[in-house]
Amino acid sequence: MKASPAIRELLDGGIPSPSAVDKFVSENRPFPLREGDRATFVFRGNADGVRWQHWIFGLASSQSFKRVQGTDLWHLTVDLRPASRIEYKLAIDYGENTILIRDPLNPLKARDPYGANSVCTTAGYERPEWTFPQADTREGRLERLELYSEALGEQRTLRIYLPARFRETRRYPLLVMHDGSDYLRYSVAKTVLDNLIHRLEIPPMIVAFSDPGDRLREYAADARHAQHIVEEVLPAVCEAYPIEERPASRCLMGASFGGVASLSTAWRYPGTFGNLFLQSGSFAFTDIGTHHRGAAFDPVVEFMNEFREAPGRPAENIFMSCGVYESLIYENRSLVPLLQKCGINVRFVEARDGHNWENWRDRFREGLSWLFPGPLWKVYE
Amino acid sequence: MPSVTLLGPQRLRPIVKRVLDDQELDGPLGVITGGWEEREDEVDDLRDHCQRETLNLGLYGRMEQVLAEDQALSQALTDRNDRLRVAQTFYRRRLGPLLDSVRRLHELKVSRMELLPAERAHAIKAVAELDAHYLNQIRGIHAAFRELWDPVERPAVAAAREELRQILADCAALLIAGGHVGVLLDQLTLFELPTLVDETPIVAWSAGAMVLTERIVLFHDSPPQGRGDPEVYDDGLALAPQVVALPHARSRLKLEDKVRVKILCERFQPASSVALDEGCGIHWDGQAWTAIGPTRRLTPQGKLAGMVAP
Repeated sequence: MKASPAIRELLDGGIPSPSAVDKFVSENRPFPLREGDRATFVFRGNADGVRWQHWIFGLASSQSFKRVQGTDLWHLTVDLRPASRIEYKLAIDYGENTILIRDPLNPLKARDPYGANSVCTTAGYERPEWTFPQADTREGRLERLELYSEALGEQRTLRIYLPARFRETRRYPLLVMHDGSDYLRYSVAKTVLDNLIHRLEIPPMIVAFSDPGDRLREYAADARHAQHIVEEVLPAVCEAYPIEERPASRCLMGASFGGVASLSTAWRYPGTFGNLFLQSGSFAFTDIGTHHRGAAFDPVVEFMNEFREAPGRPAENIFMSCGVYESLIYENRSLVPLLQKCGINVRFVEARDGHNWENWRDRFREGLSWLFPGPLWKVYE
Repeated sequence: MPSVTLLGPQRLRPIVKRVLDDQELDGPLGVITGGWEEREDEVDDLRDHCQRETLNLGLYGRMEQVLAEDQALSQALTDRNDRLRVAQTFYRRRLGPLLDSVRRLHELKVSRMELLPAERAHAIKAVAELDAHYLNQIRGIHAAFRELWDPVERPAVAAAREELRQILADCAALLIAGGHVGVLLDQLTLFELPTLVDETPIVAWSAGAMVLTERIVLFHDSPPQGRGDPEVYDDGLALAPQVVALPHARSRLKLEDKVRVKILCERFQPASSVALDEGCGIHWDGQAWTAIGPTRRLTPQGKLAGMVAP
């Protein structure tokens, strides 16, 4: 690893004075400092150790910063690939204690259900403009739909997205999203839907955002969950809203365990959903022996092993995406030829990103416009 | 031929009223919003903007009604559309490689650059010839359909045409809004609108502008799927001569990409490819085109220039 030229320059004259360190930091903010494919992370403070904690599969997950002797400045330079987006935290060691913090010198952060991470992006990555609210975009609206689930034995609330200019007299395609509230909150799903529909890249559609109760149980290929989606959610939504009746106009979507929930539901009820949108699916399996992903994965592995033996035809079209920095990239890649062999139309997209909601947000356009092509070639308003 | 004004999109900053005022068109307005499909009745904003009485021709609803009443015609249109789709599939298959070869010739760096212009010109001619061939094919499909079915003689169509004729007789001008260009074209051709318009001035925008030209070109340089090759859709009504209408050009075309702009322009010459963005337009008085607002056309040099008569 080559050192950062900026750090080298700072250290050229020996130990830098506190004012020189101040100047270096203020002149180079925000960090990480990007020089070509190199990113230099910096921390200031008295500590016994500073480490870069990330979730890039293939790299040591924790890399140590080096302290500039005689100062409170710590630094670490790493080579990163272009067009990458990486979430990380800093691990600060004080004696035997370690705290995980977001990078104080980096304002860029991403939220998820567990809090927030700092974000480092490299040249070539830009947050898509269709993920931001646009002034001239017509907005859809969200409603609540309550239903009691016999399959799960409890009350459930769906949030229903109705597109701008919704009309009762028209029929719409239906997208059912697992982890609906997280997609809305962390992947700005409503903003994205509003924009893609406004840009005519997807047709106006109704989206049912579904949330789990006990997520790791329900989404781990649980038959009751599949029953809930197909025998309860689908009829309730179709009764309350004008939905196109063909399977080709329906899509089931999910990320991580939500991907497993989508695939297993479609597998148990083939022909119900014509389309699947699977993001970073937790498709763990074993060819032989046991897996090492923890007990929560036991039913997933059992399902995936069974699925790989007899995949059938859970849907006609499947869009899959996965980050190359995820440990699940291998499982996702290996699923593609299996699905294709079954005659399923599969599109698989990889991104230089990790297992996170912004990666899944950034794939919306490509996935949805492939599964539901919009009328942009013929509509000029 | 009536006077024709082609405008860019009107949703956010409409200029229709200004155009009507400038042309001193003060009577009731016939309005076609059939490109909006099932929303064609939602004309309140347009009426408020124009500050004139509006008479909605209701072409979308009329066409739905005609097809419900005349099942045989409806089936014949479905069959015709199937044939058109197949012809379009053949066209697209051939169009991609031809456009690729034009682009590759623009990327080439060779020692004898003086030989390239002739190759590029020949390559673009091949694309234009394919466009012409495709149009010829679909003209044949349309002609066969008309010969067999003669839609304007069908009772349901004839009755609708008579009602339209009466509405238009009271109109000082006809407005044609944008929307779905294929749906709009189907309505206007089924009811043979040009034969009803006579000398009534027409103001049209977006897809409405496209259908009035001689040749309808679909375009989007950055679609989420596919290559973004502009393609000929069909003949237009030919009330706006010698122009290709490109509404929403700023958002749909890579106008900074000189090669794309140059190819698009040269492919459809001698017609002028006109960028119709917000606040822009062109007016045909029966003799010549004049520009409204900062309207620009695409040039063979790959740039944009102020609009002048084609």
